[in-house]
Amino acid sequence: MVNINKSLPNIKKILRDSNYRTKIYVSFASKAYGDDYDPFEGNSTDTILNHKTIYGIVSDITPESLAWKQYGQKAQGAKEILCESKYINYFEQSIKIKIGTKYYTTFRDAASSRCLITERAMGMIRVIVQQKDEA
Amino acid sequence: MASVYFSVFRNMELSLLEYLQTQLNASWTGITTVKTFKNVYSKNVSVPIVTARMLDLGPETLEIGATTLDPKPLFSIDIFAISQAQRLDLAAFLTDKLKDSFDYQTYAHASGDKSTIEGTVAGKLKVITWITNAPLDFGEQVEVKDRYRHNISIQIRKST
Repeated sequence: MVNINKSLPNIKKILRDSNYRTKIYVSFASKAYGDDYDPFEGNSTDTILNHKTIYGIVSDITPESLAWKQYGQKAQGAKEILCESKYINYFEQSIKIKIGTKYYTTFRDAASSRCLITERAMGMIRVIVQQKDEA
Repeated sequence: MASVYFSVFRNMELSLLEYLQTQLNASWTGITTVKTFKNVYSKNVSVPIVTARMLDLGPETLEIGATTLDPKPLFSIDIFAISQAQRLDLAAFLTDKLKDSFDYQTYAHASGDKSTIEGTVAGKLKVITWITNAPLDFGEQVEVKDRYRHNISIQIRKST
């Protein structure tokens, strides 16, 4: 019997294969507090740090599948990312996600409506992100 | 230079906010105290919310011919409640707390940590004029947070 909590070596092998995997650039930020910072206003600024690169299997989502499978999801420009579950915090905490040359919504700025993180078996996660207009 | 960033008016506003926050946290649960409407309508904050902000600096000269100013600013305290009952209770509670004088503090960022501010008691603040203490009705089609609004406008004087 397969233990679904363990990861499959074949999936790991595919994720390491450059023919299938795609680079995903994930950026984090640190909070900077200026001289005018006020805790009642929370007027801190985010300083974007250098991105981290992770690998995943990225595929386009067709409008039909989104409309049927996930209510409330925008139809166009969505990507499905399959990657190892150890990166779940990366997607939850990041403030920028870049795939190729385009930027995608993060969990922080679009929790549950335009960024969906689902835990899957075999130590994987499935992340649905949608293209952003601006960087 | 703390004196540039923490003027007497900002210190008065912060003193009022801290006083309200302390009193609300001591007697209520789940009340958020913020300064601006930007924070109120943020999706991260839910009602009940209390805001306090300065509307008019309104300094007057302390004596005829003198250059010393006597700050008597006008403050607006807005209540964003979850029900009519809570709106009245919160308004009555704040009115009761504001009738007493409270500490005026001069603030500065904590040494080496700009994410926190520290106050030092440097006098008292007293409400000298009650201008408004009434509900705000925006009609039927309103933002959820604006359904049970109340405004308290007061003029405050700092002890010299």
